[in-house]
Amino acid sequence: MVNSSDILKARILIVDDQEVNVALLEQMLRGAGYTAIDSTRNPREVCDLHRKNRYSLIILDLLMPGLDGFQVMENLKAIETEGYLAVLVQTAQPAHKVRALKAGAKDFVSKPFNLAEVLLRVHNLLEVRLLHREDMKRTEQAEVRSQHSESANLAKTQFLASMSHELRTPLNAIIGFSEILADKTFGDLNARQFKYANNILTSGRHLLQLINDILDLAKVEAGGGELIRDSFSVSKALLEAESIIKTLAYKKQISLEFCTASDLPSLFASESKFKQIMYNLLSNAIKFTPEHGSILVTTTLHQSISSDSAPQTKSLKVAVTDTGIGINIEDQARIFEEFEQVDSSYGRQQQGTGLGLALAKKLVEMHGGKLWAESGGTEVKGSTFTFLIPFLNAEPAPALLNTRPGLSAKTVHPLVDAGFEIGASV
Amino acid sequence: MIRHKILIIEDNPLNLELATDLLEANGFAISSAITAEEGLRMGREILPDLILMDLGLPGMDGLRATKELKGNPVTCHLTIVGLTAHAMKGDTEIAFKAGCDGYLTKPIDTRTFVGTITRLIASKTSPVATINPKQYHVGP
Repeated sequence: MVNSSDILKARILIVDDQEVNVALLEQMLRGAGYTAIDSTRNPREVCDLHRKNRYSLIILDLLMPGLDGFQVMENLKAIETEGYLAVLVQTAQPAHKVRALKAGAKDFVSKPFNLAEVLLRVHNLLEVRLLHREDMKRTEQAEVRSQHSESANLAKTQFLASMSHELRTPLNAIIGFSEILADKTFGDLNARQFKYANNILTSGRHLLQLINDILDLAKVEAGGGELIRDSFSVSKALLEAESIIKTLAYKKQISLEFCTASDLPSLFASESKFKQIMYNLLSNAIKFTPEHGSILVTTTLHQSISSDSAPQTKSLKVAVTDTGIGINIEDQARIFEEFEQVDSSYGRQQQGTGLGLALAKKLVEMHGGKLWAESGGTEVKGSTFTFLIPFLNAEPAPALLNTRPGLSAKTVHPLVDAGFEIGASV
Repeated sequence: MIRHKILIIEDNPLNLELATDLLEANGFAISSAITAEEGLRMGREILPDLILMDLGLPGMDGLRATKELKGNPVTCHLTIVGLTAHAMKGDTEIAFKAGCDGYLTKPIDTRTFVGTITRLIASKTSPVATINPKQYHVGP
């Protein structure tokens, strides 16, 4: 809001070749409480004065010898830097009013003056002028703030990248030498020495995984636009993700089942990032599922309901459901934060970097999609992590599905589910 | 049996020791340098079968040293394997552009390291072998 004392302090310039008009206007404005009033009878001086004093309002006579008010306005426009020039013209000719407004005047008063009207118009124009200035200031401040946060982000990303690099150098020695020891390359070890060497190796590898995840996150945060998309078969990519994760599931005797729709078009996305999302979600599910549990990956074609604001879109929908420990409702958003693991006694047993889900979420979002978690809480057991990635250039692809021999995958009929709000549970 | 000569240019003493021990245990004759300048001099004198070059050396870095070796008619035929702790995208291209014949990222995998080095030397010494640098890009 503009307060009236600011309006009264505004700098005003009166331009009129008639001494008597200048005197009248000045007296009237001073009488109303305005304090910063300049005047000139020479229209050629206006630009210089404005450049020097940056008036909030110029009260301009149109008919002056030498340079008329229209030309003065033209000249003023050329030197205006704030994008808003408050000019109040005074004219005795009705025909000049429209012409003056077209030339850039913000308002006009007729001669002879109605003093109350002049004061009200001056007040209104100054109010608008000051509001405009405040608005500009706010915009500038917002720009400065966003520049600051951008450069702070960049600094953070660069720091993470160079830190990861610095940490890898000593890790080379830690992992390398413990690996040689554990492999008994240079001679035998006793049982305890062998165990210790493996402990160092395991911890070293865990640290390396942390560093790699941090670096991945930093890369995603640094170059969000850097996504190399290609058309690929979802079922094939799922198969490859499965082959990587299979051993982990096997170790805990967890059954891993894929249920993939047969009508999926090929996905136009980054295949390596898609596999990374799958790998992160699956290893998370395996981590939090007890032995002999099961994990089901359901992949379907998802169609959003069209509305006035958004046309119908087709997305790939992948849901990873486990029979693990479950997640309390209040923790379901937090698990996507960096370094967060829900602090249950079971969760604490789990080795992990706490970055996998954060990274998966970022990678999904890079593709314009969404990732969320649902769980009935730790009482019910089991969680479902679901993500959507919109199909771009969606063309029907040949059905490549379920050609795997000896797997328990079953074909799901094409289904349209719009059962719940996307992301509402996140 | 010929003992192949390998020059390791690496400033970190533990990483130097690790690579040296692994390669010596597999019959390679190892020389080492801890700066690029020293490495360039030794490269010209020894003319090793392979140079393992840390790309992140202080002072003159390994990329520049590689360019110099590849630009010198005496040493341009030497096989150079870049070794770096960088794992950023684009690093591979930078290494190959500088003239590296292979590229390894730290931490090295001690179980495949010697095999990779052996294959690289074999492909260079065999007259019919064609060099495809991409083939030797080993990373995590």
